[in-house]
Amino acid sequence: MSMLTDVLREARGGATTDRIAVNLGIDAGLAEAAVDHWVRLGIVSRSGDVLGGAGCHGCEPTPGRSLACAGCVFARAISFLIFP
Amino acid sequence: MTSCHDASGGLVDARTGLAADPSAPSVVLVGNPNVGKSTLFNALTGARQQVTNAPGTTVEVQLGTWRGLVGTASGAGADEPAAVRVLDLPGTYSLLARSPDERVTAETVAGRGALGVPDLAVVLVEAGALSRSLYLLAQVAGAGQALVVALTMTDVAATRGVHVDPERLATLLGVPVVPIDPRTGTGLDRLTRVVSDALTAGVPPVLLPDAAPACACNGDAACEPGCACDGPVDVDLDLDAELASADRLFTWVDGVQRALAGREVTGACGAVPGASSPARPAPVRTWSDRVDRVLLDPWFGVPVFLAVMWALFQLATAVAAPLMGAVSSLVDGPVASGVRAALPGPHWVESFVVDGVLAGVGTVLSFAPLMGIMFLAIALLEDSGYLARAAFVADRAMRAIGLDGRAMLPLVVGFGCNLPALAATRTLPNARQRLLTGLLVPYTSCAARLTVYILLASVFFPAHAGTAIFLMYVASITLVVAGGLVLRATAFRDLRREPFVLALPAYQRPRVRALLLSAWVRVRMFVTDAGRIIVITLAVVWVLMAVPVTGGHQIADVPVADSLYGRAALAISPVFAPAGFDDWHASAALLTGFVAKEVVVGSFAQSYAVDAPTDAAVAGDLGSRLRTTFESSSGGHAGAAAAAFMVFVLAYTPCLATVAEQRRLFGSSWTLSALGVQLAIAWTAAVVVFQLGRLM
Repeated sequence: MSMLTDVLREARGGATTDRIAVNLGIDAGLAEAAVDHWVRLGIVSRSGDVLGGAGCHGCEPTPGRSLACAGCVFARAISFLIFP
Repeated sequence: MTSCHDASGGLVDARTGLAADPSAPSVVLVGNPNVGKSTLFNALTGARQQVTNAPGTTVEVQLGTWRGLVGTASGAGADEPAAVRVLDLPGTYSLLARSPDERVTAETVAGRGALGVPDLAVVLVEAGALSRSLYLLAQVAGAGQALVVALTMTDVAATRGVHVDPERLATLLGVPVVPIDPRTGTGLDRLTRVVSDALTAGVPPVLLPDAAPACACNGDAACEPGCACDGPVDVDLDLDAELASADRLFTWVDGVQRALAGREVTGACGAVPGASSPARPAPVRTWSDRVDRVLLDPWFGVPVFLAVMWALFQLATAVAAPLMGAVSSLVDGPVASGVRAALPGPHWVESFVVDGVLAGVGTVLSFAPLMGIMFLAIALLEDSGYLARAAFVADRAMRAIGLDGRAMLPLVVGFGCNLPALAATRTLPNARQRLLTGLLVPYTSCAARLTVYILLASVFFPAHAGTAIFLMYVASITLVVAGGLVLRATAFRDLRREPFVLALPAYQRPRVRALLLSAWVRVRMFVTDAGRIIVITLAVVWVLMAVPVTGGHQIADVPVADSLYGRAALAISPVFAPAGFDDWHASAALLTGFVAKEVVVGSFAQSYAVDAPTDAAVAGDLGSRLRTTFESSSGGHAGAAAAAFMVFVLAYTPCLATVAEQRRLFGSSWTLSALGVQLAIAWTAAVVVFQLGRLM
């Protein structure tokens, strides 16, 4: 089994990055980099990117976005928090 | 300083003419974000630099001349030494680019940037974050780029007890490693010499593993110890060369780190300086791990999640109820009286402002405390890390019943607002998957519907309001799951399951200030945005109420039942007789609810206010009037009728904006079909709930 698939399997099992590093006996930074690699391939999503208020960053009322998103309470709130 | 692009799209410095001399050697600075690249660039170039956009992008890059360094470009056919161009590339953790900035870096390293093929890359390696730096370095080397290493932040790493031996690292990598501190200039002279030598004489390639997979036994029993092949992971991946290559690089990075730490073991399968140690210490279980064992357990996780949500609604309704009552009393009492007294002019103006707009806005304002508590509680769950666990459990449950876990993310967002949830479907890679998820999103119970649940639950089920609301969310989940199963079994049988994993964050102590700020901003937006929609909608409704269609009344002096609004509501109300709420107040509220669910409560309040504005004391408050209406329409089964009304609100069209978004995303035919199905499901479910409820 390769390291990348080991990391993926651990993540699928619900392990945090630190726990993945401990379970696989690798450096925490390397585990983070491996998770990041899967994120970049679109296989893994970081919960902070896709859930809750932070998950709405994809529909900020910016030019080119849907007008409907301008009414999104969460998106506008997040925009305000990021660019007060 | 001037800058522009030349005809070929290359970078040009009008003052120095740097890019006008393509034979001049070029060096690129590559590294992770915040590793000190820009500081190094400034130190190397001084004033001889410019900021410009990378060709074809809005990404700014810095181009300059390396002071005191001349060299000969490799492969340019030029023999005359020239000033060395240096380009500060945007920081990245990987050449697998996710953003325009990162794409510029990846393209440049691959030789497809403005400088053509760079003669040399100076890769900045942060001593305290060796893994990520080495991985990027390996990618740069893997792209065939000659490189030297600048080791930075050794002092910061040392404070954390991390000591990196540059000589040992150079031996392991096979390329020069120069420790530097760009802030003080330490090591820059040596770096300049090393780069000069590299440009003149070249540098050997980094000692990466060869192209063969580091561990390619594929479960072969003959594989050597230390190369643990436990069989394929249960993910349907189209493992391409990218994955195989990346895996070799990760194994190599791990080996380099182990060797640096003096834990080098003999690589069993690959030509790497280290390999995974066969003897790992037993992992220590932390409290976080113990909590996760319960929260992520397939059998305990879902009940715990449901219990948390139930407690949340109990808490919200219990705490918010007195606050909501206080706000409502304030708006209906002193504020309404004050506005009446202050308004000059004809009666219809007073009717419009007080009975029309204020009645609706005041009712929604009263929900601000509740929304505040809900937003705060959800932000608390999110910030602590629990929301991710809940999503993880939901994902697994979705998989267990045959639905794609990836579709779960927009659905979770839908419980806040359906609009961003529809927007979030764009993250799904498959068009059919996007369509399926987009059809299910309207059944997720958004925050706007909560206002209706709260009103009716507190009026009709005062002792169990929290449980009633909780059950509405259970009903919402049931609708989503049932709808998903039906669609997968019929129109979407061809859908392929996409691999998906949710990376969980570590638990953390919630940040009180951030939580309060987040809740405050969201409540404010809820009030202002919802308020705007409500004012506009209720103004239109008031006008419709002012237009007589029967009885020969004057405009703006007409009983609601004789108005255009009342007649339209009356015309459709019989449809809801089997569901127990064939009353024009209810059907009118549902009509306005097409615009937005926030308006439903305001519509109730407005229609009662306009209907009997002068005898409110006799008619009672909104709750009393609602009870009277539902008692009358249901033949004495007001509770069942109210539950049916809530179910209808849950299942029918969320708002006009979601319809517009669905049409934009999926086209008119799918949207119209979805609308029809939503109405049919809503009506059927409402009838079933009422008919069952009246038997109880």
